[in-house]
Amino acid sequence: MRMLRLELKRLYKTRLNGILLILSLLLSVLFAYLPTTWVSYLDRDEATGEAVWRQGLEAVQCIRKVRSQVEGPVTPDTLQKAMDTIRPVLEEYEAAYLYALPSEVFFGAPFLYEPFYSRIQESVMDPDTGLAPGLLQIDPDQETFYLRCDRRLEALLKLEQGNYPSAQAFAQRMYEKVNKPFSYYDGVGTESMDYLIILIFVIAIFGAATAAPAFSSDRQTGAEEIWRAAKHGRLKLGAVKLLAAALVVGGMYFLCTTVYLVVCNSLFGWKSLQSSLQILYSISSLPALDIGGLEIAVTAGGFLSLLSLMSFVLFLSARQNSVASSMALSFLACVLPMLAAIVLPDGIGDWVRCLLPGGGIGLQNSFLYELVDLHFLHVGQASFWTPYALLIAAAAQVPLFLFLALFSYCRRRR
Amino acid sequence: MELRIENVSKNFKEKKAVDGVSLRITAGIWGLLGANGSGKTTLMRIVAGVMEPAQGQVLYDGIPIRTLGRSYRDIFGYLPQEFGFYPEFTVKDYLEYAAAIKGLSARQTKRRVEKLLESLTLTEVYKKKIVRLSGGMKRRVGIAQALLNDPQVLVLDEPTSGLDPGERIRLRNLLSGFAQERIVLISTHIVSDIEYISTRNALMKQGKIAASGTTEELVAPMEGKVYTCLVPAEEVRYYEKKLRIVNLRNEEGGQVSVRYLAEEPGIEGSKEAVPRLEDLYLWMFPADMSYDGKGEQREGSGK
Repeated sequence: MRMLRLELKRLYKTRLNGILLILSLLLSVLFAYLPTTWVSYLDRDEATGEAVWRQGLEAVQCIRKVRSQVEGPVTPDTLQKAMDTIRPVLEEYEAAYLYALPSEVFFGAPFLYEPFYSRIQESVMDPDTGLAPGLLQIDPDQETFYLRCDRRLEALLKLEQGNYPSAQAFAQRMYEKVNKPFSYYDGVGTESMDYLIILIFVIAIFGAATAAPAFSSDRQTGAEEIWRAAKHGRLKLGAVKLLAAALVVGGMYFLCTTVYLVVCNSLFGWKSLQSSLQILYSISSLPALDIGGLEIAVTAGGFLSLLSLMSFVLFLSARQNSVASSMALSFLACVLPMLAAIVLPDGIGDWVRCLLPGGGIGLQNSFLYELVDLHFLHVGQASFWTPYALLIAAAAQVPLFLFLALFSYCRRRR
Repeated sequence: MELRIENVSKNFKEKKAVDGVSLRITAGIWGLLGANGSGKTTLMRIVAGVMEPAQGQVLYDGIPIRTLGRSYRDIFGYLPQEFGFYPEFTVKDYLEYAAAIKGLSARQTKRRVEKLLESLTLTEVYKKKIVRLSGGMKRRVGIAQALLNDPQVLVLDEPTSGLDPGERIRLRNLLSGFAQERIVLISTHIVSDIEYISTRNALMKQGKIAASGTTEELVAPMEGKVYTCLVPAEEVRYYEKKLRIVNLRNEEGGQVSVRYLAEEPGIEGSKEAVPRLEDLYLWMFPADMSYDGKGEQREGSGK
C-alpha cells in the first residue's frame, strides 16, 4: 500500500498529469454545455405576441415546457394525434417534409410532435430500399405502429443479416424485451450522446499520455537501473506501476464522465433519462434501455474499452526505451480502431476494430453506435452482436496486456 | 562474506564488453579501475543483477545471485553511472520512494533518511526538488539512495563524478567507515578516488581483468619504471614527444619537474620515484595520457 501511495503521489506530482486532469475536467463541463448552444426555438412574446427566437439554455427550457404535453408513454393514440396534427399543415403549405414548413408554422403544433415523425416514417420504410416515404404518403392510422416496428426489424434483419439466421434469432429475442409502448421525455438528445463519446475519446488520449511513460520514462532516465537492483523493484514495483496508472486514468475517466453526465442531465433535465432509446435513435435498436440506461451502458462499455487500451499502452511502455516512442505508439493505438473503421471494408473492418484494444472508443467506432445500430460479427453461421464482442474482447485484453506488461518489465534486460 | 564473479562474459553484437572475467571479492573497498569502454559498467550491471551475462555467473556466499533474487537485492545497494531521478520529486519524496521500493518500513525510512542526509550534508536541501540541485548534490542524493537499506554489498559506478574536492574527501571517509564487514565495489577511472581507501583493486582492460590485488601489490611491478627529473621549460615539448609523462610541475628558475614512466631513465639525471596506482593506470592505459587518444603510438611507449 505504501508503494502504491507513493507511486500515486509521484503520478499526481507530474506536471503533465496535473494539467491533463484539469484540462479534461474543463472539457467535461464544456462538452456537456456545448449541445445547449445549438438549440433554438421560435417563441411568442406573451406581452406583445411577437415571434422571438430563444437560444441556448433559454430555448431548452422553452422546449421542455412545450413538449411536457406529450411526455410519457408513446401510445398509438399519441402518434395518431401527431399524424392528425401534421397532415393538414403539410397540405396547407404543400410541403412534403417538416423542414419545408416556415419557421413560425413549424414551431407551432408540428413542433410538439416532431420527435415522433421520423420514427413513424422509419416504421414504414421500404423493406428493399430502406427509403422513407413523406408524411403525407403514410397511412394516417397509427394503431399498428408497434406491429410495424416489429416488421421493420424483421425486414432490416433480412436485408442486412439474411444469411445469418442466428443473428436474426438473437436480434428478435433481444427486441422482444424492449418496453412498448416507448416512452418520451424531452431533454438529452443525440448531440449530447455524441459529445459523451468525444469526451471518452479525449480521455483515452489523455490517459495514453499519462500511462505511456509508466515504464519507458524510467528506462530512458536510467532510474530503472536503480529500481531493478532493489528488493521490490521488479514484480512488485511493476504491479504497483500498472495499478497506479490504471487508478489515475480510471479516476480521471470516472470523474470526467460523472461531471459530464451530471452537468448534461442537469441542463437538459433528468426526467429525459426515462425516454426510450428507440425514440431517440431508431425503432429497430435492440437494447431494452432508456436514455439513462444508455448513458450508463456507454460509460461502462467505454470504461472497459479504456482499460483494454490502457493495458495495451502499458505493455507498449514496458517494451520501449524512450518516452517519445512509447507516446507515439500509444497515440497510434488510440486511433487505430478508428482508422480500421474508416479504411477497412465492413466485414473485416468490423472484426479488426472490435478486436483492437480500445475498439469501443473512437469517433467512428464507439460503443454507443454499436449499441444503437444493428451490427454483428460472423464466424461461419455463428454471429456475435458487436457490443458483446467489444466487451468480451476488452475483458480478455485487460488481463492479457497487463500480464504481458508485467512480464516484459520483469524480464527486461538491456 | 564473498562475492564471486565466475568466468563472466557479455557481448554487444560483435563487441566483447566483458570477456571471461573471474574475480573473488571479499569484504572491504574494492576499486575497479579502467579506461572508458573497458567494460567496468557492464561488469557492474552484471554484479547488480540488472544485466544477464552471456556466460558465467555471479555468486554471493556461494549461491548464484539469480537464485537469491530478492534476498540478494535486499542486501544490495547500487548507484549506476546515470542517476535517473524524478524531476517533480523533492529529495525527501525521492528517498521515501526509494526506501519503499527497498522494502524499508516508514519508521526505518525516517531513521535512515535523517542519518544519511546528515552524513551526506543534504539536510538543507531536503525539501528542494532534485532537478534544482547542483550536479554534485544530485550525485549525493544518488549515493544516499544506494545506502538507504544499509547494504551488505554496495556497488557504485563513478560515484564521484560531479563532486568537488571537499565532497570527494567526505565521500571517501564515509565509504571507509561504511565498508567495515561489507563489500564496497567502486568503479572509476579517477585513480585518486580509491587509491587511499581501497582494500584491493582490479584493473580492467578490453573487457578483461588485467591485474588485481592491493595497491602495493599492483604497483610493485612499477618499481624502477617511474622517474622524476628537472628539465628546462623550453625542452618540455621535446620530452613530451619522447617520453610518457605523467605529471609536469613548474619550478623556480624556468625549470619544470617532470614525472614520467619508462623502462629505463630517459633523461640524464633522472631519479627513481615511488610508484603510485595512477602510474600503473597510465602505464596500462597510455591512451588516457593524450588529448588525442593516440598515446599508444608515441615514441618511447613503455610497452
